[in-house]
Amino acid sequence: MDTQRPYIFLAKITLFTLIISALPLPEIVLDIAPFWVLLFFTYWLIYFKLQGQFFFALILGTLIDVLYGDILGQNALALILSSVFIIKIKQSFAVSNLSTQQIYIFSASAIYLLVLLLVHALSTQSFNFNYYLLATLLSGALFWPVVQSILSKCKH
Amino acid sequence: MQGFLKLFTPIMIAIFMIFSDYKFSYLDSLKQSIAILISPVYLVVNLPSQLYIWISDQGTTKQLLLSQNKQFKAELARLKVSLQDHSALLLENQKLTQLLKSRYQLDKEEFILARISSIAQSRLKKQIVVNKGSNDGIKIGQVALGADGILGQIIQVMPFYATILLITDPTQHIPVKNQRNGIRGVGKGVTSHRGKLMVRFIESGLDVALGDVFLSSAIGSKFPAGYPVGHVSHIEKQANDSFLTIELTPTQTIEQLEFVLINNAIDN
Repeated sequence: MDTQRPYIFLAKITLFTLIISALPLPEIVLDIAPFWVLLFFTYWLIYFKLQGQFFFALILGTLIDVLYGDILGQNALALILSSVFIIKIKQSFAVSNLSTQQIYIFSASAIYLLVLLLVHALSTQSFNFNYYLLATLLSGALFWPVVQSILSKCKH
Repeated sequence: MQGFLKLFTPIMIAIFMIFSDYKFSYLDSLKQSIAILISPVYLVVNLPSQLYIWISDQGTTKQLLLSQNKQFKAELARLKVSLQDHSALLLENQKLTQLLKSRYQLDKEEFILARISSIAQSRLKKQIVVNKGSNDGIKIGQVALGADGILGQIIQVMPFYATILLITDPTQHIPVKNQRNGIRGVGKGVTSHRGKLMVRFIESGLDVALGDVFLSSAIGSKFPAGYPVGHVSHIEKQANDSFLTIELTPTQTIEQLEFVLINNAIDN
């Protein structure tokens, strides 16, 4: 399955994630857009077997933190904890049908969002957020087949 | 044990970074270095819009430019007249200040004009990216103004781009005062409503009405005094709260806004 060197593929998806994450979009689209970094990184976790996945999650998350201007470590922690979940269900994920994979992505997105909201709540000292953000869980699940299809083409 | 360390170490590093970045500024130089490293991403992302602007500029007819020139000259004349009134008031203010032996002085302000490149992608922060950066003299902490009022503050600088944290962000606090009666409070963004502000610490007995305009107050703040922040769109008096719940709609919204002025008179 590892048709390409995993590090090169990771570098490519990192660059692609940064570009897609920085695209100027209307505010409402921004709120409901999926966590692109999570989708791309999930693909890499599932289809490449490599040591140090959590360190890569830390680096990628930190890049996203700086790109977004978020608190440093916020997206990094969210991506690490979501990766823990993805790695736990990796065997099952690879053999599941698309609908089940979408449920897994939904759950991973929920972990990601929960961590973001918790860190934000600590920094603003209030647990108050825009409810549109909940739509990111659904959009993540919906976009997963598209991301999977594009990345599988890029991989070969 | 090794597996546990492989997971535990990055988590601890991430938690350390969150704590350090939130409470202190130890990681500012690291952040700045990463920002410079990834700044080409903004160049790539903004390339189509830059190209569109360039093509649009090239395609502008001479007739349109002449018409715009005429319009701007008329606007300039009108503004010069307004400025005369302003200068007279300024002179009067200076005389009164001298009479009162006050130490308050108006800063001589210098501005850098920047164009909005994009709305930053963070879901929880309210910020915009402009096309001027450290190469143009932009520094962290400088204040950004729009034509209708205060916009926000520079929080991140790259060589060609800078990020402005809007006053509607929940982590941004701005001292404000009511233009009508001088009642003071602190403006703070609301997470659940994009583009709204709350004014805190105004006691329920005080006179605040719908439509009142709140201006920036320089007390304990980097923001310059006297610029419009927002007008009151909602007031609520809660039974068990000694303060009023006041909601402001910012005078300067980012929709349709193309250019911003960055005040570089503030020395950091």
